[in-house]
Amino acid sequence: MTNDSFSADDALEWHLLTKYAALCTDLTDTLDIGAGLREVLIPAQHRTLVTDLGATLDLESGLSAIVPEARPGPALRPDPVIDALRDGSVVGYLKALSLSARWLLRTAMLTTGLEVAYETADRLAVVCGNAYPISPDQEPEDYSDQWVDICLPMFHRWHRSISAAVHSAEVVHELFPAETRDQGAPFRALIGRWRGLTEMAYDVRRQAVVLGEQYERGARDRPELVSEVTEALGGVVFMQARELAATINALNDFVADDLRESGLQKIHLDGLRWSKATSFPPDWLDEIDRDSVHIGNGVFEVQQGNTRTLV
Amino acid sequence: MTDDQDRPASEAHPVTTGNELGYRATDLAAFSAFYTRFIPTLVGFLIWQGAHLTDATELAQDAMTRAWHSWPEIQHPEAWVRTTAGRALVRRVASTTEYPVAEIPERSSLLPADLDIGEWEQRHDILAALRTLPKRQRQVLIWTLNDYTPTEIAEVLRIAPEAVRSNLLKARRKIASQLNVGEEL
Repeated sequence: MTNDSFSADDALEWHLLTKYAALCTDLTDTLDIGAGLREVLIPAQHRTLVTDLGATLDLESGLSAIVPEARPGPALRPDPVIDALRDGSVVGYLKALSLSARWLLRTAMLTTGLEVAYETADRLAVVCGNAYPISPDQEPEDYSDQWVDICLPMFHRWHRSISAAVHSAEVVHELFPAETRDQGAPFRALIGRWRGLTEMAYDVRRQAVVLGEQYERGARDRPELVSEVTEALGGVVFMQARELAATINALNDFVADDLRESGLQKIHLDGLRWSKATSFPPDWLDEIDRDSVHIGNGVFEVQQGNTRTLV
Repeated sequence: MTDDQDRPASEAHPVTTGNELGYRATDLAAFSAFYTRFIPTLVGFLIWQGAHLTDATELAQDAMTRAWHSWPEIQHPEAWVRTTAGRALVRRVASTTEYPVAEIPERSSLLPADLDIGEWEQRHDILAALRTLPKRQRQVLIWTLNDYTPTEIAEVLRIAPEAVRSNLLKARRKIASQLNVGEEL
């Protein structure tokens, strides 16, 4: 390349740049840029409209008008409303396990006593918290006479049931190493937490037995027994019942899980929680479809006894 | 755009839905999720084409009700309800029936009882701009905003693809000249 051709190229490039700049300046003055921008923003206007409709319309009422069954019904067991029980750690630990391990744990614990433990603790929470009579047709003043014959056995049943359930979880951990050992940390955390439930049930049962013995030998009269039961046991039993409910609900939580390919056995589906994002083995679907009830937020729960006839 | 995310969990067990005894919970889950997600878009789709908010919610509810009754057979729920509701709107506009004052239909359950419809409509200046467009341009524009191609829109509206493009161009220009600049910038 010669110096003359280099200069000619530079001159040409300068000329082109100058012309281009003049063109851009003229376009800036000529084009209706505001109108062009507003045109580009039409989709944004549409999205704003749709978003506002989503916030304005009563979606739940609209859906319920079409399908009344879409309106949430009560769950089998309450979900925690107390902050101390809403920490989600049980669900987190469970979700860290393999699907097979989680299903084994659920099946073992629910069928060996966890549900019985909750039902018993829930009844005791009513008795201890409110000094209600155990039978609806009995007057409150009969409550204390039932302490030894009816209430104490319930405390025993509560402790036995939770012990059996936690023991079954420990058995699962020991007998299925291929499915549980590699999730050691979350498993140990769960077992540790559930052993705490067993210990608490034992402590409460012991206090109940002591109160019964004091009442029987006359160390406490009826009003004192009722007062002591309410003050010493009412709150604790209530919290334990709620924690048992939270544990069962966590074990039943299969929202957004794919249960199709894991070779899971269809045992005890009652209480199972799922959503639209959950996938089931084909042979589970009839029971799932027949027995499930919407309990809120797109979550469904299998409640046997709500059986519908599928046409 | 795909409708596949809202298909029922199982398509291998068709069953009559809408039967108060016979609904499948998995169908209910899928339909509920679809309804909740799509009804605002469907109502917006109808409003954009000229329906009053009251009419739009009523027509949208009707389309969704029909969708629920036919749920196992519907492969593409969004397209299905959009087409159903769109045709119902055309029929309503073409109808010469006018409601006497004493017989104005009640609001659908979708509309909160305390909603000031006039105030709501004033929040969206796009609605005033849309009212200046011919019906065909509004149709083409809203189908485009719902991610349909000119060819697909031509098939839905039974016009030539060139007519779709032409109407779309005109609609965009007209809208752009109507909108308030200040709110966007």
